Amino acid sequence: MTVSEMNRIEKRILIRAPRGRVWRALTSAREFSEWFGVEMAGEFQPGARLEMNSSKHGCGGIVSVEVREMLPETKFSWRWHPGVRQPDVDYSKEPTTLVEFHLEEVDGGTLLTLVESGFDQISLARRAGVFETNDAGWAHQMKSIENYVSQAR
Amino acid sequence: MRLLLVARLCGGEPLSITQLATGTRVTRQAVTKHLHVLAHARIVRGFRQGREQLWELNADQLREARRCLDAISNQWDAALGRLKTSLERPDA
Repeated sequence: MTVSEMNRIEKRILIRAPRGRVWRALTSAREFSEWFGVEMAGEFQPGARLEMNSSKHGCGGIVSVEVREMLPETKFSWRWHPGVRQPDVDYSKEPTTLVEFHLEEVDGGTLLTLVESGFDQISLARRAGVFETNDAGWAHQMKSIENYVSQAR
Repeated sequence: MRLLLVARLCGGEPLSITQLATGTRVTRQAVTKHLHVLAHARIVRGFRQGREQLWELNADQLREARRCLDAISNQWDAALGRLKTSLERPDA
């Protein structure tokens, strides 16, 4: 495991359904909430800011989301701040990770690629804790390694 | 440069400054400076072995970070699995 591997997560999954259908499942708030396992108000639109509440399946974290790109049936992305919302924290200054969904039509259905990146900027423990279903006990804040190794030369 | 130092230490063996600086155009002084920054961040630790000063990765920190990333990765696996299942159902 190299240090650079700790900065992003990438998943590829083949879904036996048409691209348009997959796109709808990703970008319709109602459908998304179902499979992702959150409660959310509002719809996904480029530039929209919304909140996802993971209390349904997780340990009760609220995540602030800022939608980035929505290229129909091709790319869907957002930035989010993990962690429970606190009234005195200015979340616009908090570091975020970037989540990107890429859709590609292939033989047999749709190839969906998920990339989450930017872990070097955030507390890994906090991000991991929001959707965790058991009490993982990551009590201490942890600075990510790459945050230090990548600082200005 | 710091990334390179950590990468070299990922081999598992403690290394001396000389070994860490080999093949780079960076001075021993600069390497030492970077190592101290990494040590302050608890990413590496230095220790004496005989007359040598050696450096190694702080395994605990790495283990914790790895655990968190694994958890996040598992969460995505579970969510994407639910997406796939729901879309591939006959009545989807």
